[in-house]
This record gives sequence, C-alpha cells and structure tokens, in this order.
Amino acid sequence: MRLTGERRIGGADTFSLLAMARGTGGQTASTISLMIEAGGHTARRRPDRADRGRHVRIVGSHCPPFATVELAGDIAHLRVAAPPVRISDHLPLQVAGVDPREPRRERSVAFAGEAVAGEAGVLGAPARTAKRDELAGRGQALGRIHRRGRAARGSEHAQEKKEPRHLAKGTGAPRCRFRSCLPGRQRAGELLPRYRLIVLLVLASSACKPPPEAETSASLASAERGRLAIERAGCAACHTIEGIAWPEGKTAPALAGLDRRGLIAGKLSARPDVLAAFVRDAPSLVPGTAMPAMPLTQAEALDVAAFLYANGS
Amino acid sequence: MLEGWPPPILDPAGPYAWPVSLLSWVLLAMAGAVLVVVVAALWLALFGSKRARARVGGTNIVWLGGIVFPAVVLTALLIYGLTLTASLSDRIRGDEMRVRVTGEMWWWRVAYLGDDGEPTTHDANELHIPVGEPVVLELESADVIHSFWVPRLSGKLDMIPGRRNLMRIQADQSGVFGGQCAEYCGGPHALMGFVVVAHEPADFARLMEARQTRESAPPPQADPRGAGLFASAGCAACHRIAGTDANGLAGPDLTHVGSRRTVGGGILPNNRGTLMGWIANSQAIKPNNRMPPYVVLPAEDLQAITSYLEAQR
Repeated sequence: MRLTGERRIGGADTFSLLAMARGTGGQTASTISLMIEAGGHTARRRPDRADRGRHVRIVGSHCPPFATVELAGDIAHLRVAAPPVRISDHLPLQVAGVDPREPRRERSVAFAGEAVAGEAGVLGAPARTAKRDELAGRGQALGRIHRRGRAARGSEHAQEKKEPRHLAKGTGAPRCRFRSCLPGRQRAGELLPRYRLIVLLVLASSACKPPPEAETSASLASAERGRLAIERAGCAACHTIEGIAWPEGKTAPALAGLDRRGLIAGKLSARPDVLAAFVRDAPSLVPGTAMPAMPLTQAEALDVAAFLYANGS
Repeated sequence: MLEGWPPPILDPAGPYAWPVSLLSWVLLAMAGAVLVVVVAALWLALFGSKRARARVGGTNIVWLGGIVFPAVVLTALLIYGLTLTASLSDRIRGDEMRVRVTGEMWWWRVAYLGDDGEPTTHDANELHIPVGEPVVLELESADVIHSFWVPRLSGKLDMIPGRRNLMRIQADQSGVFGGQCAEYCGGPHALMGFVVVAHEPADFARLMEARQTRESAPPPQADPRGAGLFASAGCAACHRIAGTDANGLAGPDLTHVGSRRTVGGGILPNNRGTLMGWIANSQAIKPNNRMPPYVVLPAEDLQAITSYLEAQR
C-alpha cells in the first residue's frame, strides 16, 4: 500500500508528523483522502504526558470520520478508537509543512508513503521503545522521502512508483531542514523540526465507497412520476413498497432493493423495461401468476419501473 | 392512496358547503385581526413610551378593550354566522330524493329510498346524486357513533345509534367528492372513506333506472367458476348480490361492486389488482376490518372470484 499526493493538515504545530497509516491493503492513493487535525501543541516543547489523549481526527472525503486516534509523543501510548479493521500492512507517512508560527493554519502538505511490514497490534500498547526509535529514525529521513513525494506530486493521484521499499533507517541523517520539502512560504533557515509525533492513522478504508453515480434529474422525475402512478393504481394493496406509506399489502412480495434482485417473478430477467412490461400485463409474461394486468400506460409503467429500481436499494 | 382522498376540506362545491367554508375563513380573519390588536397592545405596554403605557393602562381600556370590544365583535360574528348558515337548517320540503346511509364499522351501507320510504336499490361506500338537486340523507348507525362528512358538499353530521339524523347535500357540478368518517369509531376509523358521485340529471336518471331494474333481474353473465367459488368460499354469507343466492347482509352489498370507484370503503382505487388484493388479504390493507383474509385461495381461484365480481356492475 502506498500513499502519496497532496493532502491537507490543519491545526498541528509540529514540523513533521510521521504518520503510520494502516490500511486494508489494495487501496490506491486516489481513494484515500485525509485531513488531519491535531490541536494545541506549543512548539519547541518535547511531547510529554500532556500530549497524550490529544485527538487526531481523520476525515475521509467520501466517508464519515473513520477513525479517531490519540496523538502522543510516544508510540507506546497510541490508542486507537476505531472499529477493528483487518490490517495487512502499514506505512510511514510524512505530513510536512506546518509553519510553527501559524499553528492553526491549514495548508497543503505532501504525503510520501512507504509500505513496511507489520501486523495489527504491533504498534499497539506493547510497542517497544526500540520500535519507536526505529520509526523516529525513519522520520528523520523524511526529507528525502518528501523530495521524492514532491517529484511525484505532478500526478497527484498516481501511485507513487519510485518510492523505495524501505526507508534508510539509522542513517543518522540530520533532521531535515525542509528547505526543499516545505511549501514555498516556508523559508530556509526555519527551525528544525524538533519533535516528531507519531500518529497512527487507522484507515478504515473499506468504509470508503466511491460516491454513487449522480442520478440525473430526468430519472428522478421519472421515479417521482412512478411513485404517483403506484399510488393511483393501488399497487400497495398487495405489495409493501418502500416509499409508499400506506397500505402495506402482504399478498405479494415486498418491493425493496429491486436493483439487487435477480429475476422478476422468478422467471423474467431483471431489467427495468422487462419490469415495465410485467407490471402492465403480468399474466401474458408469466401465465398463472396472481398478479393481474394493471391499468397503466406504457409511459407510466416505465416510470413505475424507474421508481422501483431507484427505491430501497 | 386514492386520488382525492382524504378529501380537501375548504373547497366547497355545493350550497350546503360554501357557507361553512366562508364562515371558517371569516372567523379565521377576525381571529387574526384580534390577535394583531392584542399583540400591539401588549407591545405598547412593554416597550411603549410612558404616555402610551399610561394610555393602555387605565380602567377605560379594560372596559373598552376587555368588555365592549369583545361583546360587540362576538355578537356581530354570531349574528353573521347564524344568518350565513341559516340556509343549512331550512325546512326539508319532503319531495327531495332520499337516501339512507348507515354507518357500520367501518363502511357505509347505502339504500336509495322510494317514495314510500322503502329501499329500492342498495349500494355501499358510494353515493350517486344528480347535479343541482338537493338530496336528503337519512343518517343512521348500526353500531357506534359515526359522523358523515363530505367536506366539499356539506358539514358534518353524526350518525347516532337509535336516531335518524337528516342532512341535505347538493353538488353544483358533476364530479367525484371524497368523504370520511369524522367521529372516531374504533379500529380502522381513519380508513372509513366514502365517495359521492354527482351526475348530470339525465345520466343519473338512467343509472337509477338501470339499478332498479337490476334489483329484480338475474345477475349478469359472469365467470361461472367464480360464481361457484363466491358461494363455496363463504363470501355469500356476508355479501349480497341481487338475483343470486348470495344474500348476506353483514358486509357491503356487492351487486354493483364492479362499477364502484373504490375498494375497501372509499380508500383504494377499484381495479383488478386492488380488488384481488383486498379479497386475498384485506387485513393488511385495513387492519382489524371485519372481513377475514382469504390467503388460502390459490391464484386461479382469486382470479375467478375477481372476474366474477368485476362483472357485477
């Protein structure tokens, strides 16, 4: 799993955040969009106990906040308040470019991601200091990663290809001055990132469904006409239909989630045009059915089918 | 849901409805005007200048605003209201067409009366009247108190067990006018609807003549299997069809069920689907009504009975 591209971070006062992003795997960068809000640290202060319990909210673009994690100076104190997710790997993630003098400002930062091996729980409460140091060492190398990230920024959602599989660790690289990796406003000679906060981002990315295709107003109008036709014809005398408050007939099958159902009346292919023909004259298509021909015009029948397929899915 | 039901209540279509509607509007306007005066006085008392507050604080204002003003306004309204609605309680001439409407739990028994006051033809849940002529309704109840209300044609009048209340209705235009039981009568009271159909006088005369002939004539040609099932499945125990052995009086008369506008007591449009759905499981449509569900009938039996009933016009 790789993450790359421009994202936003707001309110954090750290110079860099080494974020461990955990994902369910197979997720491409284009489907993950983060906003990290970390609040309230004063700069030039070592993270201490007071930092524990600061909340980091991670907001997805199409999905509700999928995780709330606590921000702490020591990875051992990370606590994840998110539904359990299957974790196949995690990766360090650089979030850079927060001006220390504008701690509340939101700005674009770059991500650079690198997959590392790991299993769920490795970074939980029993994490070792050694592990932390290792991660911190990686964090120190972020400058390099970030430069690569910037190189790839042109195609924001493209998957980062040039990323090394593992960061050079223990290289003893000096703290990055971010001369090249901070956004333009950040001038050279800025303070070094003094602290690195480790943020564990749990990406319950499986909850991220691509947004449904926008329905056209024409099909919505058709569905609304269909609903009125259903009321006029009294279909609900036999069928319980989502969106029709009364009656809730029980003689025939309930009509919810038709778009996920196969076969109409156990026989016909599940297509709106077939459904329209069926509601107009069921006995001719399915001899012996109790469903009678209904007094609907062809246009009304198509509207009814549009309503039923749009409804209750 | 049937179109036009529940009926609109401030859309009069006859001489016995518009005074009610007009009076409602006048009362609403007067109440609105009084509210404005009261709120203005209150505003003055709270926020007005000293002089204004002294002016609204004296004894005079109590006499004028608290006693004289209401007495005059309410008396004027009372006189106006009584004058306006005087025509509603005019003496009944005695030569009007008479129909006996009996409230039952939860439907309406309709009997058109001859000159001798005896029923000439029967129906249920639907009343046919000629345009432009007053029709006198004998309102009775078979069980509990119901209230007859066709808002576009008249005010409400209770149907009280043991009493016969007389009400006039008249439609100034042809059309279909919805009605509704307006006194809670238990269970599915809210689903105790009614329909008045106003015909041009010539059409109405033809209709009545046909119906009176039908009372003593053999039933129309219909699905013989359906006729057999109607008898053997038990329908005939509660329903009557003129000219057949079906002679039950507990439920609605079905002699003209095929030509009715509605199914289930003025609540659903009448078509093959709703009629079949009602027979199969009326309890899902109008819970606790007194017709048992016939869920055991196979599709072909339902179809046969429905065909038979559709032919009863």
